[in-house]
Amino acid sequence: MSLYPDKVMEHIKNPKHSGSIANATVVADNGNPSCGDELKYYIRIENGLIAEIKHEARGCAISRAAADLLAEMAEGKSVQEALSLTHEDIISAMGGISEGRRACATLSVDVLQEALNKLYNLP
Amino acid sequence: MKEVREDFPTLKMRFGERPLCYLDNAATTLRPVQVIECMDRFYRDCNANIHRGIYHLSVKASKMYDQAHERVARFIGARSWKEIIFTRNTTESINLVAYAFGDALVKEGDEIVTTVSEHHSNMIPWQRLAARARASLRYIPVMPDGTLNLEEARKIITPRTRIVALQHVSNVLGTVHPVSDIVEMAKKVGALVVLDAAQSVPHMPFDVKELGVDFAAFSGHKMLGPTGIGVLWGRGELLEDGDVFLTGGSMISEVNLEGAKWNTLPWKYEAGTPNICGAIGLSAAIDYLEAIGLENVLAHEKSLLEYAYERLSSLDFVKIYGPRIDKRIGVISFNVEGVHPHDVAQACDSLGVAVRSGHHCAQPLSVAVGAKHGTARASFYIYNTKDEVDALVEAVVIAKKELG
Repeated sequence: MSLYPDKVMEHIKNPKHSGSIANATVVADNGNPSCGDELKYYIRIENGLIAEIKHEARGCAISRAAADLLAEMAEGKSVQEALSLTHEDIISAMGGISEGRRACATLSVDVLQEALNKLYNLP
Repeated sequence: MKEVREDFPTLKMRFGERPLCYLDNAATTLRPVQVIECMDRFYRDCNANIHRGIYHLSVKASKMYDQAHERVARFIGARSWKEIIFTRNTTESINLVAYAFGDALVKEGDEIVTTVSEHHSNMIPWQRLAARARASLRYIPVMPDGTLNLEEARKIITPRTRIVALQHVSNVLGTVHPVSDIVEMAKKVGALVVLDAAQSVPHMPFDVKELGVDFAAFSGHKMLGPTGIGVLWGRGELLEDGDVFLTGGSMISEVNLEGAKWNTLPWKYEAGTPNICGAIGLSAAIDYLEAIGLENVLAHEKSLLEYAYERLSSLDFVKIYGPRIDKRIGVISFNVEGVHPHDVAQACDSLGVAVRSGHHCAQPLSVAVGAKHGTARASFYIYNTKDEVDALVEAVVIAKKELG
């Protein structure tokens, strides 16, 4: 018996998007102050598409797995498509996590939206 | 204390093959049938508002509510039942002191003293009071083990200090603070002492006269009683002279269009229809605890703490925070190397073990003891057993194996 769904364990053990991007188009970070989870997304945009996305995630396993899984879901999408990803999308993609851990997972969506919304305010 | 377990319906819950192991008693305890049935009886047989009706039911409800004050007064060694004020919880009790007494007492340039170890409920009201009064709030620091730095306390408590607010027992580390030392320092400079007793009254013999504090606050739901009922005890002469807090019905004796006269104690501080049933439920909880004996409660928790401490410290990937066990009571906060506290709590939940994870409403203390990302916390009460500690340890091992 595994503590978390396979999908979650896969992203905890082998994150594919961890790290940073030197020439990122936008960067955003935020955290859950109550538990200290921290997440920073680096996003490189090319021709209106998310060409590359990386994260620096610190915190619980659910928050780190969500950060990685959401990066996987967003990469290759248009900015508009990525902006339409919701809390429910990440939760269902993770394959079932307990009600008490929703905030751990949804931080990823909030930080991604924060980053992409910055695109509209670039100088 | 195996026999008490029968009184707690929640303990009959099962998670698959596993029984519930409830180890989050510092957050809230379970309630025995004696309390549940007492409250059920009140709503069925005595329900009425108090101090209003002349009819039989109201008189009966009023008497029960008044007696609840007496019951609490006897329990904590108060001189009079009029010194017992029912509030919603410890937080409201502390806010009452900060507004009704702090606003009149603390002036610009004065100092309020509290400690780094406090629950947020005994920190934010003083931050706000300091801001309102343009006073400064000073903190007694803690040692690396979470005990108070008394040498620093002696420097921080000065003739400018008006109020010293501290907890009796830490809700994170179980540290029992040397209240008498702090009271001595505060009395020397004429400061009032406000004690957050939320984690001590439920777990050990407690007497306000022996402690020498001016106010003490605690919550019913952390001592087998219902939620929504808390207590503020204050020295009678202070309460007589104090300003009011919440205003409206019940707390007045006479009203005209220009103003009002305040009611006698304790009603002066109990505005509006109170939590009548909650107070009666709390009385039943006190009856239950006293029948066991608070010395026995303390001894039982100590034995569980010793066992948990020994078992958890035998795991080299577990770090336990806080002082040696002779300086603490039944709370143990820890981290598993390489595993976030939430994941430890999740592993516990998978075995039916309920523990808390995070900062436990005392974020500055987490930081001060080197647990910036919080801890997992197990806290014990009368119904817990060594088997439950074993289940906790089993879950900790799973957390390390799966995620560490």
